Amino acid sequence: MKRAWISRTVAFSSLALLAAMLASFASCATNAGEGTLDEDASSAVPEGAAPELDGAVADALPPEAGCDAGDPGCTTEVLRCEDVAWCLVSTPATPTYALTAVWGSSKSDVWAVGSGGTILHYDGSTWVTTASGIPDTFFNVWGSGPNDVWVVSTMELIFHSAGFADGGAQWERVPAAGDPNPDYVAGYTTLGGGRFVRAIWGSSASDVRIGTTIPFSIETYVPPDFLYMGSSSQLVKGATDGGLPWRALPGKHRITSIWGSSATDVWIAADEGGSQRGTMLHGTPYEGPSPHPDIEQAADLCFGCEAPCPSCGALTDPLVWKPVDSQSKLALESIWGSSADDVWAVGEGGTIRRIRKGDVRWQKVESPTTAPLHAVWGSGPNDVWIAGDDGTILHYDGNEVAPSSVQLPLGRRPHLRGVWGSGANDVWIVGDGVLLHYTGPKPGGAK
Amino acid sequence: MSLYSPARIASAVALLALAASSACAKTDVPIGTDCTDGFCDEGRPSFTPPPDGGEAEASLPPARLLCIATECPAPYATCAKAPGTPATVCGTNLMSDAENCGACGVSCQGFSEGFNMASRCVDGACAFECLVKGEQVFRDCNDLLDDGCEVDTNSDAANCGACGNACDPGVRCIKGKCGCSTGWIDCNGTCIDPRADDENCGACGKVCQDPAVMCSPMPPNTRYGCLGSDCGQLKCDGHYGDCNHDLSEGCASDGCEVDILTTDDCGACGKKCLPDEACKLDDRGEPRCAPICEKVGLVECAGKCVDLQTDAANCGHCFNNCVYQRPNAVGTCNKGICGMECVRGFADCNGDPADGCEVDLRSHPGNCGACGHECDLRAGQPCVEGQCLMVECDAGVETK
Repeated sequence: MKRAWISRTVAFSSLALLAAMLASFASCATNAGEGTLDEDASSAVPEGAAPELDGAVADALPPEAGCDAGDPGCTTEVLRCEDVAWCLVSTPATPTYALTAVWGSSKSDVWAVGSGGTILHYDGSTWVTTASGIPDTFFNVWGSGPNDVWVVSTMELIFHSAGFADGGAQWERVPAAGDPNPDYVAGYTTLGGGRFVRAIWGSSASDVRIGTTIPFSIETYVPPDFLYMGSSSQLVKGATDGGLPWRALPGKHRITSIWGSSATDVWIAADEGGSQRGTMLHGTPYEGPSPHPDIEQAADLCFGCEAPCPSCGALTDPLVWKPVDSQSKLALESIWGSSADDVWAVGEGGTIRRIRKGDVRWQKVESPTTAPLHAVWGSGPNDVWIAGDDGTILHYDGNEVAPSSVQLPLGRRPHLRGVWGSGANDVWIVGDGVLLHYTGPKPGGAK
Repeated sequence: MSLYSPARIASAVALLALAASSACAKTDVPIGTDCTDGFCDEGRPSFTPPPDGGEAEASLPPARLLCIATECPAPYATCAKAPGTPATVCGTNLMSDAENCGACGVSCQGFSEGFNMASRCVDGACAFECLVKGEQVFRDCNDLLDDGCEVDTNSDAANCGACGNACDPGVRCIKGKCGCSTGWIDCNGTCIDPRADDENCGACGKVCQDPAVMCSPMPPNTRYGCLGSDCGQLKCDGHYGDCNHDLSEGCASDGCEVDILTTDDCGACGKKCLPDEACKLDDRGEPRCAPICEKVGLVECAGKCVDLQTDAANCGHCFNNCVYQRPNAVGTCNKGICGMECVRGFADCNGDPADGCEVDLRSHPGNCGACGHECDLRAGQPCVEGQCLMVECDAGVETK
């Protein structure tokens, strides 16, 4: 193995040199990947550090690295790509920004978003930036397909694109608050804004659901005699009389993640504080009488809410939410399932939960870490990836959840925040200044 | 989220702690023979610090502290934080702990309440200092502790600005000064300028009205108000200036013809901003040259330039305040995302976010200076200021 020994007095004498070094192995990574990432990604030589810097070792790190050699949270040697499961890939994003989420419609259409208004796209060979025009942090990205992509930050900063074309993407702001257009004659809805959006999921382009981390106020009037004033924390796509493209649903949850196996089987993770931080809600079709129970539960004031409430339809959620014991007092941040009968959730303190057909509550899954876990995704019931703080990557192979191996840049181990793949051998993880790619098993047997 | 801040604290003391306690308290290596750790007598000092042990070298006492101590060294003591709660062995510094000042249970707190005083423990004795509450500046002018800091020198005419500084009879003490500055008058305890105050024009309480005969049309950007202590004078309205000084021409004037919310005339005629500055309204609504946030890589939130990547009060978005409500932890902003870190001296040793940073590394004998760094619990070795306590061998429990 070729090693590049870094002298503390020479190579790390300046931030510029460190940056150059990080940039150089990152850019070489692209070169390695560009030529080899063909349709059969599983057999491709993965992107990795340049050979001359693969395995770089530092016996001391400069202050800019954010940690000291010897600190277990510090990477002092860049592992060789062929020795690890996950390899660094060149990112065009500013290194000081974090990437928070990744999603794609195929292996040649992948999106990653993050702080500083970052929106990146991967076409199968190269990551490029697309301009959002804002400096704010995006928390999530989701789409129903290549021509229907959403990125979310706050209720005011929700953007939609018809997809990547001609080397870029047009992002249209589709806010859920900030531009209300009350029409007192035809009825109206006004939404209080200023809430962060971390959760977005849908079953199709027309069935998209958004969750906010803190409930917002909502006022809905349907003439002649229905008036609702209360709170909401979910929005579904669909124009309202007030002209907003989102319809608010009554509720008081603090939503961190939404995932469903279909339009009629949806899970929500909510951090309700105190002993309810690990709240999990299961949404199934509501077939009861009007009004929907959430309307009365979340209302501060409601006129015309008595059954049969013909005007309640404006606020009716097609799903009804039932809490399911997560056996966790710590917050759960991400949900994913291989089917309706096999759903995973991960969160604070290394918490991992799984619920399968027949379970009346979420089951504890032994976790090899206490690091906060931020993201879960899998290609099937026996291939699940989990990403979290301090470079944590876990893999479930059908038997156990175990740490995976990862190539990380010198310095403090980055927090990893999003995971998605097009298949078992093409999986992406994004985090603080890093893009990581898994392209399948390697001859060395790296997990 | 970063749970590693304690590790840095730990690293500062780790060399010392390892050299002292690990080699002595936790192992059976005879003193003077552990050459690998620099503890042998082969013609060189026993406490040869390892490389890069700068701080450790500086803090090592000349004496050879090779034995475990079990008695609290002065000024440390074992005081319960509250009655009935377990006490941390040697966890209290009697010289500086306001709840245990000089001795366990001697609190400096209660007495100062209601007397405009704050109290601290200084060198083992309660020390009191007078408070400043908003615009009130309290002082102890009679030197009697019984009534605390009894005088507000910002408003007391007998002690205006300082004890004993009396104002002339009938003159009020306003913001620590007797009366008002030259040209200003005392109007119900507030100093106003009667020459230009539309509500107190020429005299206190004289409110200006528009004159019976007004210009029609009014000169641009003007209104009637108080000028030279007279009502009914043309004045500039809003953020406009009379830069050609022709308002005295009355209705024939071109009024206040210059916008003074521009980079060429910012707040005053001819006051130019620097190339990288914009003219913005300040906290008081006055135009002022200020940096263009975007040009310096920042974002403007309510008129202030902030870094959305690192500002915990504006993290990733204006006004997103990173709050982390768990013990001994604070919210942080890193790369535009809220996280947490332990406050200085504390650590999350059990990995459970629910109890925050539950360990005080300065005094926890099971996690002394760093998570997992154990003092000799069986011998009762205390942790003092993040180090397992050692003494010279004739004063403590000698190791084998």
